Amino acid sequence: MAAPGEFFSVGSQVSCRTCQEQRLQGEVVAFDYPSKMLALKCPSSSGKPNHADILLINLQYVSEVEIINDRTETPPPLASLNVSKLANKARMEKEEKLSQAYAISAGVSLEGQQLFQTIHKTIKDCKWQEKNIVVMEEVVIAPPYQVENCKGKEGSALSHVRKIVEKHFRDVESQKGMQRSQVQPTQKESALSS
Amino acid sequence: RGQSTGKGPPQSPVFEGVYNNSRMLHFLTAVVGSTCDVKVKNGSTFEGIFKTLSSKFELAVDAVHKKVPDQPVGPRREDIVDTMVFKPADVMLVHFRNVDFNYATKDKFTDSAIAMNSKVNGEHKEKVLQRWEGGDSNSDDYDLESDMSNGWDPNEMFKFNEETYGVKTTYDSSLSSYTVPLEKDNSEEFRQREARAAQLAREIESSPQYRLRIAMENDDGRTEEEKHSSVQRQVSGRDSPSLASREGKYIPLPQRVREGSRGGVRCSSSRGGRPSMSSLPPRGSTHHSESNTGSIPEQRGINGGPSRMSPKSQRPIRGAKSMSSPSSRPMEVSAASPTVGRVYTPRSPKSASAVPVCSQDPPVGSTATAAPVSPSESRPVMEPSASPTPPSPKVPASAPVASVEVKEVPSSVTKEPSRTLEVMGPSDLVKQANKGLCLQNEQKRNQLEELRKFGAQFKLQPSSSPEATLDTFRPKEPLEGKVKDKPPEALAGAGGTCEVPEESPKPSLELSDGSSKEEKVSCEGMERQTQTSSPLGKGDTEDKEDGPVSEQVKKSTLNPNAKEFNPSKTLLSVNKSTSTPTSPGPRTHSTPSIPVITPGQSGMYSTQYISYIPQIHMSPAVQAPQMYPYPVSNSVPGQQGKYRGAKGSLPPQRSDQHQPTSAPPIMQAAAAAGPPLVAATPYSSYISYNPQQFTGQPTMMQPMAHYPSQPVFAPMLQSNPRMMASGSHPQAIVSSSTPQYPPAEQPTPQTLYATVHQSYPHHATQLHPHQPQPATTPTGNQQQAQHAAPSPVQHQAGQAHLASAQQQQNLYHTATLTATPPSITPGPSAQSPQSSFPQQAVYAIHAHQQLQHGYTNMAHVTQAHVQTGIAAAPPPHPGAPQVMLLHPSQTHGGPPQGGVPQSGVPTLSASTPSPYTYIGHHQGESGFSRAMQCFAGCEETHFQSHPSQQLPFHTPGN
Repeated sequence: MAAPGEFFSVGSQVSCRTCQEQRLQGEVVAFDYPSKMLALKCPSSSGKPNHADILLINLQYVSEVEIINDRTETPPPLASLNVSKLANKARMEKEEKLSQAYAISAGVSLEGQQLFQTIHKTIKDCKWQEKNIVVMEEVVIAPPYQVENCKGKEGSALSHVRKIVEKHFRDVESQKGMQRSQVQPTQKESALSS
Repeated sequence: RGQSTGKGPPQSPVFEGVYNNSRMLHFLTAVVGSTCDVKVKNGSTFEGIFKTLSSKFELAVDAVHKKVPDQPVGPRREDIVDTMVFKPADVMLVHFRNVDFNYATKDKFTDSAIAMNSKVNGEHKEKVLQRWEGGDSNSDDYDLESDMSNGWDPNEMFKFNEETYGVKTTYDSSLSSYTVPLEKDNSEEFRQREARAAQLAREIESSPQYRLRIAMENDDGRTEEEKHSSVQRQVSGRDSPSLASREGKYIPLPQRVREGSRGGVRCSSSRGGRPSMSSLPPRGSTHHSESNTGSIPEQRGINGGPSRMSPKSQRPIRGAKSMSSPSSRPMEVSAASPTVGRVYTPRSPKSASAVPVCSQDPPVGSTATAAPVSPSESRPVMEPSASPTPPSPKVPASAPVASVEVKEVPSSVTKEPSRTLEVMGPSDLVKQANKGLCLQNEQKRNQLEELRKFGAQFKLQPSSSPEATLDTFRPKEPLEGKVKDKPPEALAGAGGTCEVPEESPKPSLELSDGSSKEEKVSCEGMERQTQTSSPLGKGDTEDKEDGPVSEQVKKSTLNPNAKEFNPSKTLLSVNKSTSTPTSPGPRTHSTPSIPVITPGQSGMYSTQYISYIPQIHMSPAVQAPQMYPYPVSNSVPGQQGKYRGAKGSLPPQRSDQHQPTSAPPIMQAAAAAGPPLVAATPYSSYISYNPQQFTGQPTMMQPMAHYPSQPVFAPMLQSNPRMMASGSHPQAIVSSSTPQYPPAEQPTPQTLYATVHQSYPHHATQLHPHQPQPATTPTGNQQQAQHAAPSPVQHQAGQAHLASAQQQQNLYHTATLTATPPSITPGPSAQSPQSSFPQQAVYAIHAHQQLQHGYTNMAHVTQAHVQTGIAAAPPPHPGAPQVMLLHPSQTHGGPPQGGVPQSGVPTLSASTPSPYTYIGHHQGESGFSRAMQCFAGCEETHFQSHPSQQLPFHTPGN
């Protein structure tokens, strides 16, 4: 509803330059005239097709605005949002970031952090204990976080974690190799990097 | 967080700032929980989890850390700020990364989602409803079976899709894609094969197995429901067999069962009870009442009251009864009262079992009680015999009722008797009254006790307390004189006495039973009604009315009755009262009240009156209404003229005349027929009121004080002179008070009061349920129910008087007391609303106002209106009487006089046995019940609610 008929119409491609000489371009999704806030949608930085990045631009600090093409069609209706789901997501994201920050504070190596993120994507029940990664309260991964460092009661849990760790380093190696060969990183790698 | 953004806007109708921008809000809500880089104007960047935003576009970000270029490792814990809020002025760019807009998108395929679709992010869009184009309005004619097309023809679909969507079908009827067409040739081999195939097909198709299976496949003869509805299958299977029997049974059974239970029970009770009732056995049938009566004559007296009450309700029946014993009534006004008593007895049987029982009982017990009570009793006894005989037929009907009552009352009765006995111990009316008053303060218990006491008092007074008898005797003497003049009255009085005792027990029982009693009462009322209806055509009609009423009562005992009362009372009472001698019944009631006023009246009467009086005293308002109603009825029919005339002529004779006068009113009320009963009751109540007031006045100077309150009534009454006149008559008897009353009476206020009473009754009824007096209310209910059967109006009045009387009295007292003076003024204002009811309406309004003030009963007003509307004159009177009664009761109940007046009343009550006969039915029912209620209610109410009011009254009186 961003100022319908004024300034920007939803769906148009807009390019603007900030006062810091940053070039921004995207599709207008919303504009709030009172606050001069413009919301643009642009392709996801992660490259995932179903994801997108949202740029919220304060036009007060934009030196130049250019409408690349205007779209006159009425914007599609807005879908209702599951607010509680979003709130949960925000909380989880925050907890995750904080827990990661704890690990970083503990002086965990980058490899360790990367491994932790990889494991965390599969198994939510993992946390930092000092520099050790504790998965499901059963498996403890100590630096340098190699497969052989995975210890715990023999069982499916330990074997499962070992597979994850093994795959993680294999992917890291392949990523490095690909980078060396100047091959574009895979989504997985990008995800990891992100 | 996100919720606030999401919910905030939609919830509040007026949104602020960015919240008005649903689209911006939507996207900023969708990015909640996403990682965002916030670049501020100084160039630094902060990374965090977007949390929410304010209406001022302030962004809240959780777990924020400042991004430092060239920092491979994530932020340390100490670098993270839990939450940061960025002002829009400081924000240059916010970059939400990797947002999945489908993450939080709700599904659109559930009903709720679809329903919510119209409301997106605060943007509420009314879903446009499309009119259903069902073709002809006569869509019912549409026959689904007739449409054999089974939906769209494939070709139509193809054509439609091609035209609408440009989709061209690739359908090939030959299904070449799926099969190979059969190539026919004329070769011998092919023919042989063809013949072979045809033969096999015939064989297969002719086989029974194939037929069976194909039948199953084609579900021949089976309906969709049979196929898919297990329930129906069960039904068809089980139901068909059992249902057939069940159905046959069902319809009949319920009805039969009901009928059997009702009719059978009723019949059994009625038959067994009635016969017994006619003779001594009836008591036996009404074990409770009878036992009580037997054990405690007083109780009987009390019961008699209720029975009388019921008679009131039964007034219509009385009319019929009166018809049976019209001679006595016609003979003399007083006679009419006796006849009324007789009538009551019959009525009681008809309308209410209790009443009938009472009536029946009264004869037996009453005779005994009456005999001890006063010389007049002898006559009463004689009369009772006479009365009983007439009642006997009626009694049977009543007997059933009584049995019903007994059922209800049993426990309570048994208990009550003991209580009554105890009360008897204190036999002194005054003491009892005082005690009763004190107890009344305690509310229900008190009320019950009071009722019991009343019963006891009645018994005691007649039999035990010579003094009381003396007092009563005085009245009785006059009454006797009257009786002499009107022998029938004596008889009636005897009957009344008898009834009174019974009534007392019943009330006590009812009181003890309380709510249960009420229900029972209602049930009884129903039964009674049914019974009554069966016995008497009139009774039937009335009963029918009562039946609903009783049912209503069962559900909501008080109110329903009240309503019913109004209509029935007005209509019936007016018509009947005018036309028939039954009016004597009401008059008798009034007469009883008169007797009360004039202790000298016939012993029987006096006793009855006394009994009534006590009731009146207890619940002056209640009784008063009755009294008033009578006057009203009189006034309505033109009897007022009679009254006045009677007054004019009678005034000297007042005591005697009063009865006559009252009788005329009663007659009038009786004439009202349905109304008569009601009217009669009201009149009786009025009379009682007057008596009470008057008695109170005569007995005590305080009565005068009461009068002050009455004056208020008087003013009210002034408009309704008729009522007042009736009331005045009693007063006239009283002498001192009479003068005052006359003025009051002169005004038609009575009618108004009557209306008021009705309204009050309603109120009272309504209130009563709540009140502790339930027992009384039950009695009242019973009475009401009974009354209702005969004449709704009466019932209402009776109920109102009885149950409502207490409550009303309370209210009324409060209202009247406080309002009484004001009431006059308010009355007018109130009148406007009730304008439809003229004066009565005004009065009613007053009452209502008063009541409303206390109770804030709109319903009352409405009821009153209704009542007034129905039988403007009669109802109003009842209402008025109640009001009056309330005042008197209050005043009486009031501190000082409470004892004396009440004592006087008790004495009266003691003597009342005969009065019961008189009032017996009407008064007995209405009066007793009312009195009981009044006692309990009035005392309670008075003490409780009206203390202040009482004080005022007293002060005036003093």
